Amino acid sequence: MTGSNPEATTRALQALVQPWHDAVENPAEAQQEVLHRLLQSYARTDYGVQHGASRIETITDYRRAFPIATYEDYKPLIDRVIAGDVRLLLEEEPVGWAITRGTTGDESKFIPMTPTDLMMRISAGRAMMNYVIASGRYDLFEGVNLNLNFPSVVGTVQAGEREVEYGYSSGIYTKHVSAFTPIRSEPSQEEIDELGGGKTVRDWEARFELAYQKCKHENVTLVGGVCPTAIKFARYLRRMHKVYPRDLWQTQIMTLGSVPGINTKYQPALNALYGRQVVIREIYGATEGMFGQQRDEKRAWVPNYDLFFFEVQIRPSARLRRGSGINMLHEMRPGEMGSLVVSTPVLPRYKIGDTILACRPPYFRCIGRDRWWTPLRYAWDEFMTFNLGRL
Amino acid sequence: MSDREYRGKEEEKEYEKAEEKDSGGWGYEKWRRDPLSGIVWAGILIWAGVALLLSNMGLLSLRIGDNRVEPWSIVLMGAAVILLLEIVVRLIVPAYRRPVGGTLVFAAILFGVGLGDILGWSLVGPLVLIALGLSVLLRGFSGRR
Repeated sequence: MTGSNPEATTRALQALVQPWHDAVENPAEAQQEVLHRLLQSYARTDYGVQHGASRIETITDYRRAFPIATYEDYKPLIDRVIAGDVRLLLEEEPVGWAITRGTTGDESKFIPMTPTDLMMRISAGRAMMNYVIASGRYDLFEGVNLNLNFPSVVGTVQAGEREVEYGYSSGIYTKHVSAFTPIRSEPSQEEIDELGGGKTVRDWEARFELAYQKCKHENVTLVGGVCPTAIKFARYLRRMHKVYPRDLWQTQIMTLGSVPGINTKYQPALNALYGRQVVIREIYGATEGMFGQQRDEKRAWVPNYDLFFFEVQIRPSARLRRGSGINMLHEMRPGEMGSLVVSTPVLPRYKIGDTILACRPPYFRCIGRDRWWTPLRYAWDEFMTFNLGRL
Repeated sequence: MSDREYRGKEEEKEYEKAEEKDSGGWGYEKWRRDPLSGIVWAGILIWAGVALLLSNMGLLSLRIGDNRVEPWSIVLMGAAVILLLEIVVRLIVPAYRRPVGGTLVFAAILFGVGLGDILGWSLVGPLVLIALGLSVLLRGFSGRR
């Protein structure tokens, strides 16, 4: 894909985003197809066989057969998979193990990444692809993507007789998929990994310095990744090199995730640091997968209904009106909140711990973790930013 | 902990102390730390404590005309000033830039409540409403950016 052949590029990009658009047009049908596909995959694992995956026909059957499970529920199974019992939970060997510091106190969470899972994560680029199609800015591919990813290898974990490498999913993804992406990332994931897996301030500054040295003579047209990291990088540049990113590059788009309020609270800082012309697009994902991304100028994300099966445990106040504790994500009404339950190729009915707010269809926001104060915090932020719920 | 052993255990401990301890990988870690907000709210609490302490010790006494200004009015107006300073910093420093409309409205409310005791609610109340209305109007004209 290049800027020199817009028609071919458009066709290639459309092929990647059209399934998403089609699924959003008819989420009920799309979710049925996804469930059917996932069940075929689960049926090839011991966990799936135990729960009768091959006999399930309907969503009701699926809910009856597979319980909603948190990471703590899956942890014993994941420990056994790390130890070598791959078929317990996976239908294929993992290409890597992703670490995340979730809500389990001091202990890290390990999530296996399979080849199927890895290719699904290309959906992280949908926000960028949609922007290119809509804007016609094919020259984006003539620049580079600023790679501020975490390392793909951070350490090793011993489980039984096996020693397994683990790292961050963004790094693992870039390492395995970068050859297939239409835009070059600088620095490369291998170069980032060579700096080591440390997470101290000094380690991060080493990565930032590497990114600066590799990109200072390039044009960074795309910045993707973690929003706070992008801001910290800009502050580092200012402190060490007396420049802001906007002074070096003509960035077109930033596709960022990791915190709520990217397009409300953080947008002014991002534009001040990277340029007023930069389009900000939110992506919603986790170590377990990339679940949705912003489609247009509406400041909320749209789920990847063609890739994952989404349910929501709606909050008690809504439950009184709706009469049910669990709904499909696409059935949520504007203003309703709930806890996201997502079925991935690896984890059936996984309660991820995020609180989702339904805006008008098909838009959603993740407003924080599942805590009682999260809605209050969200309301306060909406007031203090004077956004007041605007999409 | 399970029967696993972490090879990077020292690194894990270092990680806990590191500034980025809430940052994760490609994860939706709900990192919210904004140093400026922390400083502002700490400043407001400290200001409130100092003002009340000085007032209780008889060292803080303010009068406007024949009216004694109550300590809480001083606290609220001081808090409003701190919020205004926050707005100035956010507008000047790119890395800290955020929408400030709500902060401005909140500062106006605090100032109005603080002044209410001094000037009278019949005057301040309508002024606060006018300020709120103008803020909403301004937001509507200015659009999102």
